[in-house]
Amino acid sequence: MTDGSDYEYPMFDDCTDALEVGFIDNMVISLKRMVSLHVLFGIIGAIISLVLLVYLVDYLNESLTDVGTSISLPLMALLMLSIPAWTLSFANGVSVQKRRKLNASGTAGILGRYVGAVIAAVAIMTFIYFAVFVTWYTIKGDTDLNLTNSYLIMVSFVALASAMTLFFNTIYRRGSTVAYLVLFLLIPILAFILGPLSGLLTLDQASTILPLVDSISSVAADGFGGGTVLTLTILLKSSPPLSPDVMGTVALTLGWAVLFLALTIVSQYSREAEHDKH
Amino acid sequence: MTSTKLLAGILVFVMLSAAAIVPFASESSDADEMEIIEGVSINPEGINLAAFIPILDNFMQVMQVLQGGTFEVQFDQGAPAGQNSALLKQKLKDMNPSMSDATIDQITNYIGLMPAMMLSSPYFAAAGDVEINGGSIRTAVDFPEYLLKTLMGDTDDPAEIYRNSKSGFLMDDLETELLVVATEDIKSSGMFITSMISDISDGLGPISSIFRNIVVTNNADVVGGVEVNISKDTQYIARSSVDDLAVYLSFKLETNYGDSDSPYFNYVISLQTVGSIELELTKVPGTGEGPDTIEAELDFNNLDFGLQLGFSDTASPSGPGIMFGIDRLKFDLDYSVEVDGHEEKANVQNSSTMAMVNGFSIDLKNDTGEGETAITAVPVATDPDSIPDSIGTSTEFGDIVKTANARSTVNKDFDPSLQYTIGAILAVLGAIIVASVLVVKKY
Repeated sequence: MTDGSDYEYPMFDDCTDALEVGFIDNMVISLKRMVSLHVLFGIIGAIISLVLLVYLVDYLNESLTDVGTSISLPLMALLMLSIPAWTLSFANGVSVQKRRKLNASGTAGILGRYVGAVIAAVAIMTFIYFAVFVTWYTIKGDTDLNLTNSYLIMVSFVALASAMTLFFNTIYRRGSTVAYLVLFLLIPILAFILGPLSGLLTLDQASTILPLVDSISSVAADGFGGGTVLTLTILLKSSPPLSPDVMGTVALTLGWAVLFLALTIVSQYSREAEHDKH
Repeated sequence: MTSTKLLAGILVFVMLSAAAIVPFASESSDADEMEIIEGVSINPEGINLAAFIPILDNFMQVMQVLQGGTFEVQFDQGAPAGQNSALLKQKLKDMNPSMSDATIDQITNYIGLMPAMMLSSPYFAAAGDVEINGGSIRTAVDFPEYLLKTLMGDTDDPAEIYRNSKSGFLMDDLETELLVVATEDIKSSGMFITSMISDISDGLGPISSIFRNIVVTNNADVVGGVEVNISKDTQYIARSSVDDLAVYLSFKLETNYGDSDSPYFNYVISLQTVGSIELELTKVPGTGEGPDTIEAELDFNNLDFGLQLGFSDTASPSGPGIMFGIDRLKFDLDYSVEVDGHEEKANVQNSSTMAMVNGFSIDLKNDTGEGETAITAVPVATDPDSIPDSIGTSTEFGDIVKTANARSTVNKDFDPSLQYTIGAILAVLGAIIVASVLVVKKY
């Protein structure tokens, strides 16, 4: 296979930098991205928006209650997309180079890139979770959060998001944008077509097969029997740790992650095979 | 995608809530339209609540009678005709000496009538005296006085308010027989929940298709009711049996009474039901047209309904209003019906979409245009500085409530096996793909 030390082609092609081989080398590349400036700004931005959002909702609820009216939008409805959006952003940020196609090569290399990305994104999201916890405690004064379940789902979602981003990055330069579109638009549309629209499956069943990110999976609400990757709703309600609902969601998401990772490897292989032919 | 679903969910529940509130709020209203927040309005006349109102009326009447204490009666299995019902009437009279005999007879008949109304059609009325053949009833009723008076429109006497009110109903092996008559032409026979839902959703027009996705069933033909074509004045003998029915109802009051001149009163209501009801209707020959026999069975595997109902003088800037919110709605019911030997079964559950509207609350204001209120304001007698926790009840009362709560609480574990399976298949598929590239192509 193409060897990174072959300086006849310093860049793999005009969209890709020189290929990197090897597990450790690739993992280091991903981990280094975690400490980049743009990731740092991203974290600060996410924390600020989280704090603002929580205070805003709280303020709105209180001022409306004083008037005697009660229009209460649950916090989870507003934050429903935030945590997955941030998760995907950060997973993208550490997985890919901006506007360049994937330059990891070899199964070991791609795995290294992937593992590094997952570790980096999980580390970043841990900061975010810490911020959520502190904000909640400051405002509500209690620790009625179920962090374990939520964190587990977040980790599995990071695994999926990174795998998806890497895969799309072998085909498109803007792999992260495509991953966003697929996760937040294509999959929900597909779930709706398969589910309520055509009546083939119920929404429950559709979301048990597809990693549906914008639906509510709250163990306490118990109204949803499908597998989803939403983390925040579990966060807000106390429920027993490691319930089957969470593990089922994690299992489904990790399954999809493994599949996308495999597709990444195949896709990158065929790219290089195509390239070597010429 | 998400905001569209949320909006759809809100619209549906606003419609539902408006439909449910209309009979209470429009007593003295000339308004043709209910205006809901942000200018969305619906025409309540378009929604037919005929199925819902008689059942609710009966329910409220029974609540009033049993209010305040425990009620226990054990019927003799094999007692001579009339003895058990006489026993029930006597006990009801003891509990409410001022109640007229006619009302007591009517309430006694409900025991035999309610299964027919709930499992077949609300257009049945009692045409004789109920015969009770065995079983037991235990109730402990504490229905908030303020809520009762508001719903019944009784504004003359002030009401006491309490922070918590709980009720429990237990019915075991209750068997009844009652002659019933159809008060109208009955086109379909089905369970009250779905006939109410289909009546409401018919009035919703195009929104109804979204609503139908909130209820999931494996036999949609049965859910709306099976066709029966019973003509008016046809008589049936209704034999029913109620097994292990436990109903738990609790009210928690949230209010700023005492801190505000125009207080709001918000009740957080929880209703849990588990049990089963069986019904057999046999036509009395020569009394009209309709099937010879209708048998139905409704099993409440789980019914857990959490809602909020609030009343306020300042619900909205232009006037008083009602606040209605859904905290959670979970149900899992099995219904089977057999008309002249032809049987149909259905399992009805709430779908996952329901979870998306959990937690939403909506304000309704009735804008009659001239500052007139449609919300009757019940005066409150309680000292705002010391609102008592509850009405104060005996240990027997507490026992019945606790038992009802325990028996009606269902903790269904989610079955993740499908997700595990699919996750495993995907992972194996991925592993095979990687192996093929790694080993075969040495990548």
